[in-house]
Amino acid sequence: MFQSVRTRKAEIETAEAVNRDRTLFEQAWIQFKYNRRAMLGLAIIVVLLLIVAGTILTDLVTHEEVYNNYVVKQNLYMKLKGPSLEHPLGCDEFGRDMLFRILWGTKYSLLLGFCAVTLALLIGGPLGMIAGFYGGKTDNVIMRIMDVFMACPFILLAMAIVAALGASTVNLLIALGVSGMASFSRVTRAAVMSVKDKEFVESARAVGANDFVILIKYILPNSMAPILVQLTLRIGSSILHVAGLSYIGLGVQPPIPEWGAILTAAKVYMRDAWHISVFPGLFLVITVVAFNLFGDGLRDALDPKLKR
Amino acid sequence: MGKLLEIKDLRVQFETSDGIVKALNGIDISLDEGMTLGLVGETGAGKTTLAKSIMRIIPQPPGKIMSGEILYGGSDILKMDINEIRNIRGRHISMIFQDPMTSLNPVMTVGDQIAETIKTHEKMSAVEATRKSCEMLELVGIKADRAGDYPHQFSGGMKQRVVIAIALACNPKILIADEPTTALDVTIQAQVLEMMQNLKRKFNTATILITHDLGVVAQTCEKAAIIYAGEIVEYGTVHEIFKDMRHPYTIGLMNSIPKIHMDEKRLHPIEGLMPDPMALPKGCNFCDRCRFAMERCKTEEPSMVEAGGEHMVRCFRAMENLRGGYGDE
Repeated sequence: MFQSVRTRKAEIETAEAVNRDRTLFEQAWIQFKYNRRAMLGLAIIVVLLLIVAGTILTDLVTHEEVYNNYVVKQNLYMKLKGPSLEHPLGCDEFGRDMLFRILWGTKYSLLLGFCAVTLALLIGGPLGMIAGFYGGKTDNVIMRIMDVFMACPFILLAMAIVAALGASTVNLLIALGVSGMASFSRVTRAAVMSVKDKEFVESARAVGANDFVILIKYILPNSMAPILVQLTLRIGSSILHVAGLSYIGLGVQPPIPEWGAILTAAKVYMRDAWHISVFPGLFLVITVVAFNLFGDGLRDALDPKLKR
Repeated sequence: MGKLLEIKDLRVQFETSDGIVKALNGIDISLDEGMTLGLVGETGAGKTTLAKSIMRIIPQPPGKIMSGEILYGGSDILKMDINEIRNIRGRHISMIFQDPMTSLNPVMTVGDQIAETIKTHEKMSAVEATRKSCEMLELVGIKADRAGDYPHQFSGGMKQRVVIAIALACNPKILIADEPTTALDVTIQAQVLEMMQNLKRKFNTATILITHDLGVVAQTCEKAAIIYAGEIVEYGTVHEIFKDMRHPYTIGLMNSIPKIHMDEKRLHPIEGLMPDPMALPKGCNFCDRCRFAMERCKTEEPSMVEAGGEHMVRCFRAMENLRGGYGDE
């Protein structure tokens, strides 16, 4: 009862708060604020980013002392020790504290996953946009190239690229970006095609707008929703792909504590020490869910049609 | 009055996988400064294709302009390069689309959309363009403080006003209104038409008004052209067309309007459908539905015949009193 009254009040406040003089992003934020699930997602993402900032800062202040002593230093006496007061999440197969490893791993997992997807979007998005907008031969040429990329298994393609460029974090990013671009170009192309024949695009053309203006101001904002959703969904799988490549030795190199790398290493000890696979897995799940919630909320908030 | 726009023998086709659709088959028409021309015809007659040809926004392919000239101020729109035509669009010739619900960008505020048009054509700072867009909104009867609203916050009639504001923002010489009131209810329709009339007088804009509604033509236009299967079948001043209609198709159109002073049980449609534009008949396009068709109509294409004044009719029997023939039945 009380809750429903409060929700009602929140709704009225939203309606009043969506003021006429605000910009699109301010309005989107107001809309976003009252979406509880999206706020939960955002909160988790903020916490994760704080962890990232905290670990980077600690490394800077202590000249990587903490990193060297607690994250990578092996201590075989503590091997596979279960959670205790001293080590809340237990220790891994080399006796390293899991909590430290997971906290320090956040940076690699999150940023690698995010950057790989962003890179894929930045390459695939514009290509898809051009293909969808101009159609015909341009479309055919671009999409057939994308088909070639799609025909290769994702991991194989990434492996080939890393093998050619050499194993390093930057090359891993490039490999993931290039092999992920095809799906982004497909999604973007479909979204653009569904918008480009709308009457408002035609009327923009009829008042003399050029192709660039039409693409950026009329088509892109109207085809944003599926692209955003794809972006947030892909961050999760991208983190997993980083892990997969790390597993076969082409991605993040040990002893860097990347979540996926911890997880794959833990597979062997799953019967003896549940904690080293459960905790990083849990963090991974929470991160992916948080990004999905955030993405959904973002889509709703950026859609002016849903505003009152 | 000088001729502002002159279209000569315009032929447009759409090449689809099923065959060639002949959308426009030799349109000749002209528009004087400040004049309103009504373009009437049934669905699929080629009215919108004609409008889009003038703006050159026919999607190519599948559309293809086969021949003809569209002279605007002496230069041929069809031969212009893409930058020249872009300069014409919006600044010299503007277009209002059928459905105001979909012809505004849903993610841009209406003020921005008007300002966008102004900025495209005039060197103006963002502030000035915004001010001008507010003025335009006031001009079409919308309070300027609604400039920050999105299209979905407006009603259909108001959206159409916004569309008109965008079209008139750069003070064009010609306004092409493609069924501007079809999607609106009758009261709003009257308001919008009246507003268009006032603005037209104020800016001396020549207008091409595309419509199904003969009442609208009688009310707002000076000249009218009846278009059928991609051809103009009758052209003249509104007075000539309404008082002295000569083409059987025009007569049929007029007859299909129920008369308020007569107790009519049934409507009188023109029997049959428009010929398939992929397979137009050899002779007159209308002959299959025409009550007055002769043998000659089936084999020979009629050309435009002058019927006094500016009145032109595409019929072999234009000089006979065909209207009387209809009255008998």
